[in-house]
Amino acid sequence: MAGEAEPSLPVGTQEVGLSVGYLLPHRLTDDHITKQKGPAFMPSWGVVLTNPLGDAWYQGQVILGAEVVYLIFTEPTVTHGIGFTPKIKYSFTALDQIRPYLEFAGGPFWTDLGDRIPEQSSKFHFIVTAGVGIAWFVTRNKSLNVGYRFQHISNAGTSMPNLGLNASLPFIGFSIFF
Amino acid sequence: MTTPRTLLTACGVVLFLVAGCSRWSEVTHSSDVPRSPTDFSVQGMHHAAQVPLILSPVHVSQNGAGMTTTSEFERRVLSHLDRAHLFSYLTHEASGPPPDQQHVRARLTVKETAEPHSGENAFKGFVVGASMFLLTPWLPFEYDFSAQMVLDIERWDGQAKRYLASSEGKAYFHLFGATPLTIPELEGRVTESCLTNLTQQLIADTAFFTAPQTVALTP
Repeated sequence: MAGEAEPSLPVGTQEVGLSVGYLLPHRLTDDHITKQKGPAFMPSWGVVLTNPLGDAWYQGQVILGAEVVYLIFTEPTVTHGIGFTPKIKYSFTALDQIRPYLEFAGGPFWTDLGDRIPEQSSKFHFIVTAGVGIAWFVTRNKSLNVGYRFQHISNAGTSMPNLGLNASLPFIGFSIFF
Repeated sequence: MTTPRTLLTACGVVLFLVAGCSRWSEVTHSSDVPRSPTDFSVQGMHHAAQVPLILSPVHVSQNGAGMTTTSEFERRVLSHLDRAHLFSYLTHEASGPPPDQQHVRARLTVKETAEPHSGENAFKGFVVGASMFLLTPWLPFEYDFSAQMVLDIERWDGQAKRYLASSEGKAYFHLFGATPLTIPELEGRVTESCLTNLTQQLIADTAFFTAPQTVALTP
């Protein structure tokens, strides 16, 4: 390019990050009795796929990547869960240094909590996550992130019962872009 | 038979990874280059016949919007023109007043067009993600870039000539082969192609830049 371009993350930029949060249960029906709680660790990777889309407040870039979700359930019993989820993120770029984002992820998830609670009957599950966050770019290639996710865990009917586990997951983290 | 199956699986995984990590670009020239620079007997032009070239500020626009030209790009243009060995020296208009001697004034206009295929790439990204990355090798992301350069040259006696060059390119990259260098590399290749083309046109027109009192070309 012969000219000076507007600052944004170039297409092809890689993002590596780590988020930590705490899982808070939502019992959406009377049949839900488990209060699964505990810390969550989410290392992630992504690639910027597009130049900024649009030219208004919703201007933003699409980032595609993957995330490992590791949960430690401290209640009702100490158990663990780990999953791998492709993740797509829309990062709003209109404000440059402060970039809110929406994210969606889903993939397989294994947990030994599954067969110890009345809601679920197996260890193999799927985890689906939708969330919002804000990335504060402290430098051109480093950001601090804070956000909220809603998380759903169930086994897609591969075994019964399958009421599903729902939770809120507030988190903080950081990302490095290169 | 376990061994052939394992081998086949291993080959499949390797092919998948290689394909999923690849990136490439294609550049095509829209203008015909007459001959390569080495075909010309520029050495036949006596140094005394050469005149200086003054480069006016380069005008660059992308997708119709004007952009601030980088000094690096202007240096690159001067460097290209210098390689032709047509001029006694090259300088930028901003460097100082024009010399008293006969000189050539050049004005370069660059019109760039970028087509990032953002919507298409976002959709492909969604599909690739939904497939748990299994479709990565079959869905490369795309980026198009083209440039058109117009070089207006005005001689010491007011005679003017216009040289045109254009080039376009397309970059493809798979998810695992993405790097922030992919697009700049494509843009660099397209720009280089245009500048080379322009330089070759100037070389082909050597006589136009030769001061009349000292014309000395090889036959």
